[in-house]
Amino acid sequence: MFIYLFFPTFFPQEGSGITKIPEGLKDLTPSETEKRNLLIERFRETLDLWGYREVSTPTIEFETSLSKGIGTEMTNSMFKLQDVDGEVIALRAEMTAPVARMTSTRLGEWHKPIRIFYIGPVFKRTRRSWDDSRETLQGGLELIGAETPYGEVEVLTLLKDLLRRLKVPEATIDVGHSALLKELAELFPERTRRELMNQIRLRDKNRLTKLLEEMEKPEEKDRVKVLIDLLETTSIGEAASITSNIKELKQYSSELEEIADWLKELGVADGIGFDITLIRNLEYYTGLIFEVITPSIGVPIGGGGRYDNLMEKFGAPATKAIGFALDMDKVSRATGLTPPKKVRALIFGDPRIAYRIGRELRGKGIPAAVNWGQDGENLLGFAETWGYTHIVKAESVEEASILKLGKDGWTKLSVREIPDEISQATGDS
Amino acid sequence: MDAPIRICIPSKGRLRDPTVALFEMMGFPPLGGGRDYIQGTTDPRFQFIFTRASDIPLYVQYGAADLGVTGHDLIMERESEVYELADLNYGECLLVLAAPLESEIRSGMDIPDGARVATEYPNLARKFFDKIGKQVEILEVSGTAELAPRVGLASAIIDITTTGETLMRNGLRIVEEIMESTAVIACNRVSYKTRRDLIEELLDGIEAAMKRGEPRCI
Repeated sequence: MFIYLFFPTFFPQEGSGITKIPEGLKDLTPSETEKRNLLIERFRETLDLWGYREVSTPTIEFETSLSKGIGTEMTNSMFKLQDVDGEVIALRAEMTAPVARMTSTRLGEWHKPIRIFYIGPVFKRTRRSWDDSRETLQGGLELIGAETPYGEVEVLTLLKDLLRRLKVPEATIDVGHSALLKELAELFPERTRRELMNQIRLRDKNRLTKLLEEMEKPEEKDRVKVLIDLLETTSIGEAASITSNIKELKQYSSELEEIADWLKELGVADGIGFDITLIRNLEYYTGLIFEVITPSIGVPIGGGGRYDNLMEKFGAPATKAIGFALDMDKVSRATGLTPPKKVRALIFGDPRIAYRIGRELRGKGIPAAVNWGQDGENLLGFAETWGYTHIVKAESVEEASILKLGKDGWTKLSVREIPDEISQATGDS
Repeated sequence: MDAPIRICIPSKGRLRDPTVALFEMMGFPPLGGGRDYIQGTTDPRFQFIFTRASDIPLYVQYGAADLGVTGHDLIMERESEVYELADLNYGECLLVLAAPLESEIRSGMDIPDGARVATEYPNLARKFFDKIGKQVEILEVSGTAELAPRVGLASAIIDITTTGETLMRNGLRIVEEIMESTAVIACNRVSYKTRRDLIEELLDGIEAAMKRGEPRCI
């Protein structure tokens, strides 16, 4: 807005085609970029504290490899192109498959568990214009070679810590179980299965209750009751006990019980709840799945789960794994973190002296820019817009004047005193 | 104070009046001019957003609204990831396959492969034909699908009907019923967890109002 006022000629006429970008993509201004970078920095620090090491994979890979285990919906949503030799390559739509590929081919011999993290963009060819992002910055981790409940407990505890450090307000984690839900569905005759899953997804208790009344066999009635009870509960421990009487679900029930007990034991159970309606649209999940929500964002800001069969698809021996990713753009919208105000100096006046002062300031680690041929009112607006904290006027080889933004009046100083005068301000801002 | 719970109400069409009547019965009449898209009510904890019924599933899915009154059919068509917390028992309708009275079409299977079918519900239509294994050409129209067979644009239509009158007037008859629908309360999945108490309170109010008398103003 400010920039527009000062430099209206920078902005081409409305409606000219070259000024548009495709739907679902965005530019980041300096302050938006700084906020994102701060989040990335915090993300890296936290993961490092937990013993995770950063990796990077290419943005473009063979479609056959990127689509391993992710399911048709996600595969269809990838941007695809043809390589010079005719092979189909694609932009990654998620990070777990590429990281699993890399781990099985490059880190196969490394001692397990492998703790790795990544930060990078993923791309989706969304058809629905409401899905606002076709390019998203994802930050996530994979814990490869970790059994249940140890993997789940580490990842959920870490995620809680990460959300706290990223200052996501009132963040909560909802936990579901993909295998439990699948197994539960299998217990119903095929004709009702799809309808039932739909009702679970919609949390439609009325239709489920109606169905309960229609069921004739007592065991079928019992199972619908289990579904209704699962819809009602928000506690992992309770979900475990609700499912404990069905022998086909016994294994998952004890898994949930163990996880709930450990989370309680470690004092991190608060803010982690159960939600049977949770369905992640990635096929590779085999166990516990979870999503992160925060009140100001209408959709989950991240999620993950256990994927015990994916590594085999890349030729590695069967390896149990679990991971998650956060949508850093959504985290950026929700976070209470703001980049700290930095000291920055804007210098004008005789260019020869101005450049000398600039060099000295940079030598002391103070960002400094020199504006030629501008002074007075103009410069004040410029400094405010671009976040400078000090304006320095290079008067002569010996002398300069300095103005601290927000304070009245210029102070005359010797050129030598300028760096100290400005760096002192670091403390008072 | 927390932001008010935003409730989407259809701005026109057959679901609008009974929905406004329902909230009036609860003592929450929308306050504001008829053309205001966002209106408050007597309770500052709630706010109404008036928008097209077919857009409501998306408003709710992406959290532009916490709750919305819309048709079950529209949620299914949009494959919207929302919760359906209550059935309002009004706005009943059927999604049907209809064909001209004089045609030979007696069921979905009678439609010749490659025939054109006009509909406002392309997604549900595609699913229906996939299920019965028919390859047809779906023509997406944004209203008055029943006109399409009369002007030779399509051999059949998939559309909603309440009494069958409009179909009849256009020389069409129902050949297959695809889905029943009523007005429902759709809820954003995040709001359901973060604003649970207030949402439950509102749902209780709706249930009580419905028991006192069903708002039918169709």
